[in-house]
Amino acid sequence: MADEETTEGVDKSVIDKWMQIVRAAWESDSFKKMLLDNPVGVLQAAGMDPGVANVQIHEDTATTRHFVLPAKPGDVGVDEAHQSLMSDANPGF
Amino acid sequence: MEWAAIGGGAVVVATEARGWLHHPANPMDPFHFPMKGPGTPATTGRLLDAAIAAGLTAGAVGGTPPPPLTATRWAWRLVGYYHLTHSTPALLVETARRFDAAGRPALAAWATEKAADETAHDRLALRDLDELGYDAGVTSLRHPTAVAMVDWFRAAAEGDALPLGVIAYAHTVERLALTLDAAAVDAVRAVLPPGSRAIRCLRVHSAIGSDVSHVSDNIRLVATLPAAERAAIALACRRVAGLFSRTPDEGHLDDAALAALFRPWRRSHGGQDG
Repeated sequence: MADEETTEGVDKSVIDKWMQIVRAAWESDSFKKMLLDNPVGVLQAAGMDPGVANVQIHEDTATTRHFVLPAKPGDVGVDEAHQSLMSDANPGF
Repeated sequence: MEWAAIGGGAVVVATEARGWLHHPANPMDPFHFPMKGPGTPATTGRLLDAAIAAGLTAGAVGGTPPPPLTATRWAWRLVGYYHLTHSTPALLVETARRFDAAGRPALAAWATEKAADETAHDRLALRDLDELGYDAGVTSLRHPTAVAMVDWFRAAAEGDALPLGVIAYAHTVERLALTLDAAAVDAVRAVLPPGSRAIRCLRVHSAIGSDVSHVSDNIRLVATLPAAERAAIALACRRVAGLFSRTPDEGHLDDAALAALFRPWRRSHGGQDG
Protein backbone atom coordinates (compact mmCIF):
# COMPACT_ATOMS: atom_id res chain seq x y z
CA MET A 1 0.00 0.00 0.00
CA ALA A 2 1.39 3.38 -0.99
CA ASP A 3 0.80 4.88 2.47
CA GLU A 4 2.99 2.24 4.06
CA GLU A 5 5.77 2.63 1.50
CA THR A 6 6.19 6.27 2.36
CA THR A 7 5.66 6.18 6.10
CA GLU A 8 9.27 7.15 6.72
CA GLY A 9 8.89 10.17 4.48
CA VAL A 10 10.86 9.03 1.45
CA ASP A 11 9.69 7.53 -1.81
CA LYS A 12 12.92 5.62 -2.24
CA SER A 13 11.80 3.71 -5.29
CA VAL A 14 12.09 6.80 -7.52
CA ILE A 15 15.57 7.60 -6.27
CA ASP A 16 16.71 3.97 -6.53
CA LYS A 17 15.51 3.66 -10.12
CA TRP A 18 17.16 6.93 -11.12
CA MET A 19 20.41 5.78 -9.52
CA GLN A 20 20.30 2.62 -11.64
CA ILE A 21 19.87 4.76 -14.76
CA VAL A 22 22.75 7.05 -13.75
CA ARG A 23 24.96 4.04 -13.15
CA ALA A 24 24.06 2.51 -16.51
CA ALA A 25 24.76 5.81 -18.30
CA TRP A 26 28.17 6.10 -16.63
CA GLU A 27 29.02 2.51 -17.54
CA SER A 28 27.76 2.53 -21.13
CA ASP A 29 28.04 5.28 -23.73
CA SER A 30 25.43 3.54 -25.85
CA PHE A 31 22.97 3.54 -22.95
CA LYS A 32 23.73 7.20 -22.31
CA LYS A 33 23.01 8.02 -25.98
CA MET A 34 19.75 6.10 -25.76
CA LEU A 35 18.82 8.02 -22.61
CA LEU A 36 19.56 11.38 -24.21
CA ASP A 37 17.78 10.44 -27.47
CA ASN A 38 14.68 8.85 -25.93
CA PRO A 39 14.43 9.79 -22.25
CA VAL A 40 10.75 8.91 -21.88
CA GLY A 41 11.28 5.44 -23.31
CA VAL A 42 14.30 4.73 -21.11
CA LEU A 43 12.58 6.01 -17.97
CA GLN A 44 9.49 3.97 -18.71
CA ALA A 45 11.58 0.87 -19.35
CA ALA A 46 13.12 1.38 -15.92
CA GLY A 47 9.70 1.66 -14.29
CA MET A 48 9.84 5.44 -13.92
CA ASP A 49 6.86 6.66 -15.87
CA PRO A 50 7.40 10.44 -15.96
CA GLY A 51 3.72 11.06 -16.59
CA VAL A 52 4.47 13.70 -19.23
CA ALA A 53 5.42 13.55 -22.90
CA ASN A 54 8.30 15.98 -22.68
CA VAL A 55 11.35 15.01 -20.63
CA GLN A 56 14.78 16.61 -20.92
CA ILE A 57 17.99 15.09 -19.60
CA HIS A 58 20.81 17.54 -18.88
CA GLU A 59 24.31 16.30 -18.20
CA ASP A 60 26.37 18.17 -15.65
CA THR A 61 29.93 19.02 -16.64
CA ALA A 62 32.97 20.36 -14.86
CA THR A 63 31.74 23.91 -15.47
CA THR A 64 27.94 23.55 -15.49
CA ARG A 65 25.52 22.39 -12.81
CA HIS A 66 21.79 21.86 -13.37
CA PHE A 67 19.25 22.38 -10.63
CA VAL A 68 15.57 21.51 -10.98
CA LEU A 69 12.93 23.83 -9.59
CA PRO A 70 9.84 21.72 -8.87
CA ALA A 71 6.59 23.00 -10.32
CA LYS A 72 4.66 25.08 -7.81
CA PRO A 73 2.01 22.85 -6.25
CA GLY A 74 -1.54 23.83 -5.43
CA ASP A 75 -2.45 25.34 -2.06
CA VAL A 76 -4.41 23.22 0.39
CA GLY A 77 -6.34 24.35 3.42
CA VAL A 78 -8.84 22.83 5.82
CA ASP A 79 -11.32 25.66 5.54
CA GLU A 80 -11.73 25.02 1.81
CA ALA A 81 -11.39 21.22 1.86
CA HIS A 82 -13.96 20.58 4.57
CA GLN A 83 -16.66 21.69 2.19
CA SER A 84 -16.04 18.53 0.18
CA LEU A 85 -17.10 16.27 3.06
CA MET A 86 -19.06 13.26 1.86
CA SER A 87 -19.85 11.81 5.27
CA ASP A 88 -22.88 12.39 7.44
CA ALA A 89 -21.07 13.11 10.68
CA ASN A 90 -19.88 15.94 12.85
CA PRO A 91 -16.39 16.09 14.31
CA GLY A 92 -16.44 15.37 18.01
CA PHE A 93 -13.91 14.13 20.51
CA MET B 1 9.52 25.01 6.12
CA GLU B 2 8.11 21.63 7.14
CA TRP B 3 7.00 18.71 5.00
CA ALA B 4 5.73 15.16 5.30
CA ALA B 5 4.96 12.31 2.95
CA ILE B 6 1.29 11.39 3.24
CA GLY B 7 1.11 8.37 0.96
CA GLY B 8 0.33 7.89 -2.69
CA GLY B 9 3.50 9.74 -3.67
CA ALA B 10 2.18 13.01 -2.20
CA VAL B 11 3.98 15.34 0.18
CA VAL B 12 2.45 18.19 2.14
CA VAL B 13 4.73 21.20 2.40
CA ALA B 14 4.13 24.11 4.77
CA THR B 15 5.50 27.54 5.52
CA GLU B 16 4.18 29.92 8.15
CA ALA B 17 1.64 31.25 5.66
CA ARG B 18 0.90 28.49 3.14
CA GLY B 19 0.28 24.79 2.76
CA TRP B 20 0.87 22.93 -0.50
CA LEU B 21 0.12 19.44 -1.78
CA HIS B 22 3.17 18.41 -3.77
CA HIS B 23 3.73 15.31 -5.88
CA PRO B 24 7.50 14.94 -6.29
CA ALA B 25 8.12 13.49 -9.72
CA ASN B 26 11.76 14.31 -10.26
CA PRO B 27 14.30 12.07 -8.53
CA MET B 28 16.22 15.17 -7.50
CA ASP B 29 13.21 16.73 -5.81
CA PRO B 30 14.27 17.66 -2.28
CA PHE B 31 10.90 16.62 -0.89
CA HIS B 32 11.72 12.96 -1.52
CA PHE B 33 13.85 13.17 1.60
CA PRO B 34 12.64 13.14 5.20
CA MET B 35 12.03 16.42 6.96
CA LYS B 36 14.78 17.51 9.32
CA GLY B 37 15.06 20.27 11.87
CA PRO B 38 12.77 21.72 14.49
CA GLY B 39 9.17 22.76 14.06
CA THR B 40 7.49 26.00 14.96
CA PRO B 41 3.82 26.41 15.90
CA ALA B 42 3.22 28.42 12.71
CA THR B 43 4.71 25.92 10.27
CA THR B 44 3.60 22.82 12.17
CA GLY B 45 0.05 24.12 12.26
CA ARG B 46 0.11 24.65 8.50
CA LEU B 47 1.65 21.22 7.97
CA LEU B 48 -1.11 19.48 9.90
CA ASP B 49 -3.75 21.62 8.19
CA ALA B 50 -2.40 20.64 4.79
CA ALA B 51 -2.40 16.96 5.75
CA ILE B 52 -5.98 17.18 7.03
CA ALA B 53 -7.08 19.03 3.90
CA ALA B 54 -5.43 16.42 1.67
CA GLY B 55 -7.17 13.66 3.61
CA LEU B 56 -10.56 15.33 3.38
CA THR B 57 -10.21 15.73 -0.37
CA ALA B 58 -8.92 12.20 -0.95
CA GLY B 59 -11.58 10.64 1.27
CA ALA B 60 -14.36 12.43 -0.56
CA VAL B 61 -13.38 11.10 -3.99
CA GLY B 62 -16.20 9.03 -5.45
CA GLY B 63 -18.50 9.86 -2.56
CA THR B 64 -21.94 11.36 -2.50
CA PRO B 65 -23.00 14.29 -0.33
CA PRO B 66 -25.37 13.49 2.53
CA PRO B 67 -29.02 14.50 2.22
CA PRO B 68 -30.02 17.92 3.56
CA LEU B 69 -30.07 18.29 7.32
CA THR B 70 -33.35 17.68 9.13
CA ALA B 71 -34.15 17.17 12.81
CA THR B 72 -34.10 13.41 12.21
CA ARG B 73 -30.72 13.63 10.52
CA TRP B 74 -29.42 15.80 13.34
CA ALA B 75 -30.39 13.02 15.75
CA TRP B 76 -28.36 10.64 13.56
CA ARG B 77 -25.37 12.96 13.80
CA LEU B 78 -25.85 13.08 17.55
CA VAL B 79 -25.64 9.28 17.63
CA GLY B 80 -22.30 9.68 15.88
CA TYR B 81 -21.27 12.35 18.38
CA TYR B 82 -22.12 9.96 21.19
CA HIS B 83 -19.89 7.21 19.81
CA LEU B 84 -16.97 9.59 19.24
CA THR B 85 -17.19 11.26 22.63
CA HIS B 86 -18.04 8.15 24.67
CA SER B 87 -14.88 6.34 23.63
CA THR B 88 -12.53 9.22 24.28
CA PRO B 89 -11.64 9.41 28.01
CA ALA B 90 -10.72 5.75 28.49
CA LEU B 91 -8.62 5.63 25.33
CA LEU B 92 -6.81 8.81 26.34
CA VAL B 93 -6.07 7.37 29.79
CA GLU B 94 -4.56 4.32 28.08
CA THR B 95 -2.62 6.62 25.76
CA ALA B 96 -1.24 8.54 28.75
CA ARG B 97 -0.17 5.30 30.39
CA ARG B 98 1.69 4.21 27.27
CA PHE B 99 3.39 7.57 26.74
CA ASP B 100 4.45 7.49 30.38
CA ALA B 101 5.81 3.96 30.02
CA ALA B 102 7.76 5.09 26.94
CA GLY B 103 9.44 7.87 28.93
CA ARG B 104 7.49 10.68 27.27
CA PRO B 105 6.12 12.68 30.21
CA ALA B 106 5.06 15.74 28.18
CA LEU B 107 2.97 13.58 25.86
CA ALA B 108 1.55 11.67 28.82
CA ALA B 109 0.58 14.95 30.48
CA TRP B 110 -1.13 16.10 27.29
CA ALA B 111 -3.20 12.89 27.13
CA THR B 112 -4.06 13.03 30.84
CA GLU B 113 -5.25 16.61 30.61
CA LYS B 114 -7.24 15.89 27.49
CA ALA B 115 -8.89 12.86 29.10
CA ALA B 116 -10.10 15.16 31.87
CA ASP B 117 -11.21 17.87 29.40
CA GLU B 118 -13.24 15.44 27.33
CA THR B 119 -14.90 13.53 30.16
CA ALA B 120 -18.72 13.56 30.11
CA HIS B 121 -19.01 15.06 26.64
CA ASP B 122 -21.01 11.95 25.72
CA ARG B 123 -23.64 13.15 28.18
CA LEU B 124 -24.08 16.28 26.08
CA ALA B 125 -25.01 14.10 23.11
CA LEU B 126 -27.39 12.05 25.28
CA ARG B 127 -29.08 15.21 26.62
CA ASP B 128 -29.48 16.56 23.10
CA LEU B 129 -30.95 13.26 21.91
CA ASP B 130 -33.27 13.20 24.92
CA GLU B 131 -34.49 16.68 24.10
CA LEU B 132 -35.28 15.54 20.57
CA GLY B 133 -37.36 12.69 21.99
CA TYR B 134 -34.98 9.75 21.83
CA ASP B 135 -34.13 7.36 24.66
CA ALA B 136 -30.47 6.63 25.33
CA GLY B 137 -30.82 3.19 23.73
CA VAL B 138 -30.71 4.90 20.33
CA THR B 139 -26.94 5.07 20.78
CA SER B 140 -26.81 1.31 20.26
CA LEU B 141 -27.22 2.07 16.55
CA ARG B 142 -24.09 1.79 14.45
CA HIS B 143 -23.10 5.13 12.93
CA PRO B 144 -20.62 3.98 10.27
CA THR B 145 -18.38 7.06 10.15
CA ALA B 146 -18.17 7.27 13.94
CA VAL B 147 -17.46 3.53 14.19
CA ALA B 148 -14.64 3.79 11.64
CA MET B 149 -13.16 6.75 13.51
CA VAL B 150 -13.34 5.08 16.91
CA ASP B 151 -11.84 1.87 15.53
CA TRP B 152 -8.90 3.90 14.19
CA PHE B 153 -8.56 5.78 17.48
CA ARG B 154 -8.59 2.53 19.46
CA ALA B 155 -5.97 0.93 17.21
CA ALA B 156 -3.72 3.98 17.65
CA ALA B 157 -4.19 4.02 21.42
CA GLU B 158 -3.75 0.30 21.96
CA GLY B 159 -1.45 -0.73 19.09
CA ASP B 160 2.19 -1.65 19.26
CA ALA B 161 3.60 1.68 18.12
CA LEU B 162 4.03 4.80 20.26
CA PRO B 163 0.50 6.24 20.19
CA LEU B 164 1.37 9.37 18.21
CA GLY B 165 -1.70 8.57 16.11
CA VAL B 166 -3.84 9.60 19.06
CA ILE B 167 -2.38 13.09 18.90
CA ALA B 168 -3.18 13.14 15.18
CA TYR B 169 -6.70 11.88 15.83
CA ALA B 170 -7.37 14.47 18.52
CA HIS B 171 -5.95 17.29 16.47
CA THR B 172 -7.84 16.32 13.33
CA VAL B 173 -11.26 16.13 14.94
CA GLU B 174 -10.68 19.28 16.97
CA ARG B 175 -9.37 21.16 13.93
CA LEU B 176 -12.39 20.04 11.91
CA ALA B 177 -14.64 21.24 14.71
CA LEU B 178 -13.26 24.73 14.13
CA THR B 179 -14.82 24.70 10.66
CA LEU B 180 -18.18 24.77 12.44
CA ASP B 181 -18.72 28.46 13.06
CA ALA B 182 -21.72 30.37 14.40
CA ALA B 183 -23.42 30.12 11.00
CA ALA B 184 -23.07 26.33 11.07
CA VAL B 185 -24.61 26.23 14.55
CA ASP B 186 -27.45 28.45 13.33
CA ALA B 187 -28.01 26.12 10.36
CA VAL B 188 -28.56 23.24 12.75
CA ARG B 189 -30.77 25.33 15.01
CA ALA B 190 -32.90 26.22 11.98
CA VAL B 191 -34.00 22.60 11.43
CA LEU B 192 -34.83 22.01 15.10
CA PRO B 193 -38.06 22.98 16.85
CA PRO B 194 -38.12 26.61 18.03
CA GLY B 195 -36.29 26.99 21.33
CA SER B 196 -34.63 23.59 21.12
CA ARG B 197 -31.33 23.33 23.00
CA ALA B 198 -30.25 20.14 21.25
CA ILE B 199 -27.05 21.81 20.07
CA ARG B 200 -25.07 21.57 23.33
CA CYS B 201 -22.73 18.90 21.99
CA LEU B 202 -22.28 20.85 18.76
CA ARG B 203 -21.46 24.10 20.54
CA VAL B 204 -18.70 22.47 22.58
CA HIS B 205 -17.24 20.90 19.42
CA SER B 206 -17.23 24.02 17.30
CA ALA B 207 -15.41 27.28 16.75
CA ILE B 208 -17.47 28.81 19.55
CA GLY B 209 -16.52 26.09 22.04
CA SER B 210 -13.46 24.81 23.85
CA ASP B 211 -11.90 23.21 20.78
CA VAL B 212 -10.39 26.57 19.79
CA SER B 213 -7.81 26.49 22.57
CA HIS B 214 -7.36 22.74 22.23
CA VAL B 215 -6.21 23.11 18.62
CA SER B 216 -3.54 25.67 19.47
CA ASP B 217 -2.43 23.51 22.42
CA ASN B 218 -2.09 20.49 20.13
CA ILE B 219 -0.01 22.45 17.62
CA ARG B 220 2.30 23.80 20.28
CA LEU B 221 2.88 20.25 21.53
CA VAL B 222 3.51 18.75 18.10
CA ALA B 223 5.89 21.57 17.16
CA THR B 224 8.22 20.49 19.96
CA LEU B 225 8.56 16.92 18.64
CA PRO B 226 11.38 15.58 16.45
CA ALA B 227 10.90 15.90 12.71
CA ALA B 228 10.17 12.20 12.17
CA GLU B 229 7.40 12.28 14.77
CA ARG B 230 5.89 15.45 13.32
CA ALA B 231 5.89 13.79 9.91
CA ALA B 232 4.28 10.64 11.33
CA ILE B 233 1.56 12.74 12.96
CA ALA B 234 0.92 14.58 9.69
CA LEU B 235 0.53 11.26 7.87
CA ALA B 236 -1.88 10.07 10.56
CA CYS B 237 -3.88 13.31 10.30
CA ARG B 238 -4.31 12.65 6.60
CA ARG B 239 -5.62 9.14 7.33
CA VAL B 240 -8.06 10.29 10.02
CA ALA B 241 -9.39 13.08 7.82
CA GLY B 242 -9.82 10.60 4.97
CA LEU B 243 -11.92 8.34 7.17
CA PHE B 244 -14.03 11.26 8.29
CA SER B 245 -14.83 12.60 4.84
CA ARG B 246 -15.65 9.39 2.98
CA THR B 247 -19.15 8.21 2.24
CA PRO B 248 -19.91 4.99 4.15
CA ASP B 249 -19.87 1.86 2.00
CA GLU B 250 -23.59 1.40 2.59
CA GLY B 251 -24.31 4.95 1.42
CA HIS B 252 -26.39 7.55 3.23
CA LEU B 253 -29.64 6.61 4.93
CA ASP B 254 -32.60 8.81 4.04
CA ASP B 255 -34.92 10.24 6.68
CA ALA B 256 -37.47 7.43 6.30
CA ALA B 257 -34.77 4.81 6.89
CA LEU B 258 -33.44 6.75 9.86
CA ALA B 259 -36.92 7.12 11.36
CA ALA B 260 -37.44 3.36 11.03
CA LEU B 261 -34.11 2.72 12.76
CA PHE B 262 -34.98 5.15 15.55
CA ARG B 263 -38.53 3.85 16.15
CA PRO B 264 -37.74 1.57 19.16
CA TRP B 265 -36.24 4.52 21.04
CA ARG B 266 -38.53 7.28 19.85
CA ARG B 267 -40.86 8.68 22.49
CA SER B 268 -44.30 9.52 21.19
CA HIS B 269 -44.23 13.00 22.69
CA GLY B 270 -40.99 13.92 20.94
CA GLY B 271 -42.69 14.90 17.73
CA GLN B 272 -39.76 16.77 16.20
CA ASP B 273 -38.97 14.98 12.98
CA GLY B 274 -37.80 17.25 10.23
